[in-house]
Amino acid sequence: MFGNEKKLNRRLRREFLTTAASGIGGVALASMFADDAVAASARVTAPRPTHFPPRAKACIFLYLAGGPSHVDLFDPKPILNRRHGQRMPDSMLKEVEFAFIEKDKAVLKGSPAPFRPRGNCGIEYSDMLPGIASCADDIALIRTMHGEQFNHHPGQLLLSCGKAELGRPTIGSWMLYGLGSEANNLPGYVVLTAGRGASGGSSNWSSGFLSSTYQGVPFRDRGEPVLYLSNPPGIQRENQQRAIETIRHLNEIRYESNSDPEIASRIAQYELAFSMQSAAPELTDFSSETQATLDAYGIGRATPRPAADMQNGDTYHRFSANCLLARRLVERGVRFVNLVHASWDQHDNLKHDLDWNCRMADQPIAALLRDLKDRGMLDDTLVVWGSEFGRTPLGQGDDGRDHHPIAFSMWMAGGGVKGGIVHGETDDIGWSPIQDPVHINDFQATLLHLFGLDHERLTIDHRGLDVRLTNLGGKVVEDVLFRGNQ
Amino acid sequence: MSCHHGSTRRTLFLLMCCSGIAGAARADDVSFSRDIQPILAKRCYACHGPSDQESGLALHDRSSATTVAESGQLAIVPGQPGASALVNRISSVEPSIRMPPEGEPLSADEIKRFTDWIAAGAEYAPHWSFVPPRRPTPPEVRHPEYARNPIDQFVLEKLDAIELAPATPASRAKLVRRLYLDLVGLLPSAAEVAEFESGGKGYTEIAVHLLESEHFGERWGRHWLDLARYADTFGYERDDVRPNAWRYRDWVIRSFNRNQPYDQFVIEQLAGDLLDNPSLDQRIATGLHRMNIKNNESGINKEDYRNREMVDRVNTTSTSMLGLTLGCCQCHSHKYDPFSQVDYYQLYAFFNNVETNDAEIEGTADEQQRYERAKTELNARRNHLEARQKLLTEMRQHDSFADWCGDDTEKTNQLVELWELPESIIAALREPAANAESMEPFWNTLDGLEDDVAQAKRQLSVQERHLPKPYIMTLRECSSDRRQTHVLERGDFKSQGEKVQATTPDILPSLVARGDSPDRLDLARWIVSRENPLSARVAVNHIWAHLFGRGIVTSADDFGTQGEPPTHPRLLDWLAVEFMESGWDRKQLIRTIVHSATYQQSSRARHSSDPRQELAFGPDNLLFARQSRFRVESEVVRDIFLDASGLLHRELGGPTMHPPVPVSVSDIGYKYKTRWIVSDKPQRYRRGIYVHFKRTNPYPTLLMFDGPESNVCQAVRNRSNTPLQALATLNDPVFVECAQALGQTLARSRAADRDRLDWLARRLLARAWGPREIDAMLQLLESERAWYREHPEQAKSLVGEYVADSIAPSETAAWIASARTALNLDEFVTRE
Repeated sequence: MFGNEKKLNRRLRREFLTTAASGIGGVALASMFADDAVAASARVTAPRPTHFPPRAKACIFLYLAGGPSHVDLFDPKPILNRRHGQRMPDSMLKEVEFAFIEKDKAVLKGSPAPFRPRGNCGIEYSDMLPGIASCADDIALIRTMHGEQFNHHPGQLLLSCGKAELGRPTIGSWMLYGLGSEANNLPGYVVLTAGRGASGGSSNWSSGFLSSTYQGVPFRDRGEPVLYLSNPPGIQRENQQRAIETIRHLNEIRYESNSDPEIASRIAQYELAFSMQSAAPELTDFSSETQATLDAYGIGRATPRPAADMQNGDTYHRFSANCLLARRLVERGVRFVNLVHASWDQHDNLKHDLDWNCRMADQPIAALLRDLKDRGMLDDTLVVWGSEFGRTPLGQGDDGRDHHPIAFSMWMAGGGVKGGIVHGETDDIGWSPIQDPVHINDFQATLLHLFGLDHERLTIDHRGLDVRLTNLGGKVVEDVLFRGNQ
Repeated sequence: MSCHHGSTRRTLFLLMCCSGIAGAARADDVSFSRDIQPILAKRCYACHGPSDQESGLALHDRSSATTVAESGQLAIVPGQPGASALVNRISSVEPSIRMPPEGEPLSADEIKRFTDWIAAGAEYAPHWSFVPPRRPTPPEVRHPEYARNPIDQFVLEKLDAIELAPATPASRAKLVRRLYLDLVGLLPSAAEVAEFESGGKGYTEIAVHLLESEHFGERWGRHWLDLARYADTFGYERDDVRPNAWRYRDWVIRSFNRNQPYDQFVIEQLAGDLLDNPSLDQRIATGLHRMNIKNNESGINKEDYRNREMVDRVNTTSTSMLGLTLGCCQCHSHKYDPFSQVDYYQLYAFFNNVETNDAEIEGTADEQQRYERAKTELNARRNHLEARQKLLTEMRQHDSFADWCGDDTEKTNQLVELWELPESIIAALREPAANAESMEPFWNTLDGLEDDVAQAKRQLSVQERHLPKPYIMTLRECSSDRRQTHVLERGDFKSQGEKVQATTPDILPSLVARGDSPDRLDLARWIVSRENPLSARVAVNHIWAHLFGRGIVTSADDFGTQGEPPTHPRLLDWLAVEFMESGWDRKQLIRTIVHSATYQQSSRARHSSDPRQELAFGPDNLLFARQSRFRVESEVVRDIFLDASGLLHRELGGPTMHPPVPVSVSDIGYKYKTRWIVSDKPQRYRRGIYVHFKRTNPYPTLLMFDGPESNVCQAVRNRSNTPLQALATLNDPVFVECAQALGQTLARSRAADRDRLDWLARRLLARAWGPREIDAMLQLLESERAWYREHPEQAKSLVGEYVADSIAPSETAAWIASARTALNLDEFVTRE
């Protein structure tokens, strides 16, 4: 059919994205190339070899933007409670910057939430997150996270891109770049938002200076799941099929006379688009899930008023649906799911708003962890709870806390992580790490390590610099890696 | 893709070696800057370079390299490779001795280049781009008949060396389409194509027509806006609207349209405010350095973010105008290029005293007055609408007119005052007895009245938002409390190091200042001085890149040692000198380039069994042995869809507009006060350059087709090819509407199917269908016709508002479906 197959250059092989196994044109496309192996290896996001054997295949990153309070959720501080209302020594405040707290008025604020030991490991979690706490034996809790950025967007960039700078690829882009994707009919990097999106907007899932092939694709929980996925009114699937067949046919004719590999790539993109049109609605159709599963995640539950995320909608249901969608995406080979929810920025009204958020997040996240475990997926699916910073042990106003990047908590579960452990220790009031600090770049290095990637070798030459996710830092936190019978 | 530049360099080198041209490394002809420096920069400078000198050895500096090092050895003994420690170390087989200690050893060829270079005397020459360009003589070529101007001689010289003829010229139709897309970013009409094909219009005539078209400025201004990181909002969390950012955008468009010389273009943007009696336009030009992202989040450290803005200004200036990536020098001296951290902060000092609180300049007195008048008028209208709303709300609480009003004449008076009621009703209102009954019809229209008020308020909000505030953000020097600039250790704004004064980097020609303390105007004049080795090269390289798909230097943002060397160095220099001597005339340069045979070649891929030639035919098109074929930029995708459909609204300049987006898109982001309110027709059909650019939530199709995120200066766009792009052009309502409008036009025609389809091909692709293509299109048309006849409801849905009078919806629908298919062909969105 094509006279010059042998002359297809390396670029064609690299860039040609085949959907040989699916899509209407699969057969025709496969026949364009005598060598199917060449065609298969040509996918831009085809799975790629790792630096060393990976433990995790997929990541669900629960991005609770705004800065959830570590001292109220994950890091119990009885001494902080006892010193409630007292001032901190000036020496400790000298070098610190706050967004809002006035230093001369600041006093310590104890946590209203009781903590208790959970699971066989006996690690203490706040009563505000009973569901997540019940999974304590699967969780590696890091209590000594830290970074330098004390404002939201720069902090979010540090967490997403490894440096507080716009224009760099985000974690998911790095993973897609380094690993490719196993999803045939869906993008490899998917973003789910419920309620208010993160303040950094699309910079939290941008591919930065990498091609847009590697950017996170927001799946929308209202309307169509992928932008422009639905056919316009009056175009049914059969019309779309005829259109795409004709486009392919005409593009093939052009390719014969021109042999520009970009045309072959374009043909493949239309095929993939067409197969996404059926795969994505199937993905968001929960009718094949049991009622027990739906109930476990809290699908359809009511959202209490007043809403802490300043939305007047159905955030609870949407967050639940996103957790379930995350599992379904991973089942279909998606590499990285970024599940974003903002509004953890409790400068005031902390008691009500934090409680409201926890009730939203706790049940579906716990359901997700258990569901993944029951299906045998937790072994190679890494679940991360993270945010750009935590909150001050100092109070702000009557019932608030300010931004605190000096120490905060994040956790990982599954995907080759040791469960039931705590890594790192903060001081008596949760102010700074006193043992085993973990910088955000260290966390990122660890995350890549679990996927078989060496963060120092996964680099891109950009403007003369070897850019990497972990910027200039990054040290793998060996302590959280599962070393059992591998 | 930018991340594969490394391979371009390797391929280029291979090509030079096997072709034996471009001055390949013969023993008596080793070039330091071409053959040696790239290796030193890549493999040695990290430890023995401008910033670090392990064992006291600095290989970038000849005197250090030829003096006895701490080890007691001589790295380089000129003329004696055997006595040079460098040669021994790089060729050692013993890993503990071999240099460089990490990575692959140098190849035999690389070692030979060092040996030859030292044997020939180890002469150091500065990096090519730091030496001012001199006009080269165009070379003799084997087939002078191929050459239309000197550009072709430089290109042919390299083709001659591998015994390759240039590509055949593009067909006249494809050529005119290329010219339209490149110069104005729009499509030629079918008639224009025919006129050119038949010889009715000459190539020069068309080129001149397009260069003089006002759409030229939109097309070329947009290229500059990538470098200027233009956006309509500030970025970061709050991402507020930047007032009147578009005034700067319009200034850029006008600058291109009036063919402002490039040196003036640079001077006005960097220092328009420092010129004598600057005009409003010259001050607007300085908006360039108010386009940076700016954090308005509460609770930030203001000095921290002021510092970041300054850094961005230095980086943007150096990347866009000098082709230098100095960003790393913010924290430490450049590892590879001869720029120190002190150099960096000396440039920083030029900008360190610009006002950064929202220093806004006022427009002209006339603009002020117009603004005040319009604002007063809008306020009055808002009050009026609020009063109506209040009265309606009050009426709503009653069951009937009588119940509301009773005998209260004050209430009826209010009614008469607030609404323009028909005389009959006014009369009735004056007759209290008649009130109740005669007013019931009026009472029944309350729903409608409330809707009217709501709609009027929405319109008013849009008008208020678009009310051109007479403020523009520009640069202004602080007159008091001027800051002393320091080196910031590790780039940390809190760690002030040594004091520095504003001046330019040591390695480049020295600055000539007007007074004792050099200012931005001195900097700007230095940038566009004839002695500056970088500016003209960088500028012509940008222009070349937009006409060939890649620059002569592919790393358009890096002319330093880490960047790609030019594939045609002498061509670059010829263009640069030509450009300066023409008075930095951009249109003249474009005109010269598009008149070259090189530009007019076919873009068809070429093949050869000769390995030297095959390399030249690779995707990077290293020798310009053909034209390039690439998908058009994101704005142009939008523009040609609108143009082909006839919907395009060609208004030039003015405030931004908001095309329709799905609610799920407009909802993203933190602040709802900048919610996306869709513009009315025909505003929403304007070109992509006018789409409101919100940094934290950019208009999706712009980014989907690799438009810049506009956070930092961007010199090269990616060209991705993704399924999301296919979904957008198939299903985005904006693009679907284009298919509807185009389908309606086709359905209205009385011509035969075949003729209508033929017109479609000429309109979209500037050519006729081939026999197999027309068969496929006819078959599609017939299938859709039959299908929509059987599915009349679907036909009506597809046709929507685009009903063609007296034509059956199934017929129009079939044409829309066909037009939609043709608009999605690869060739339509491709510049060939």
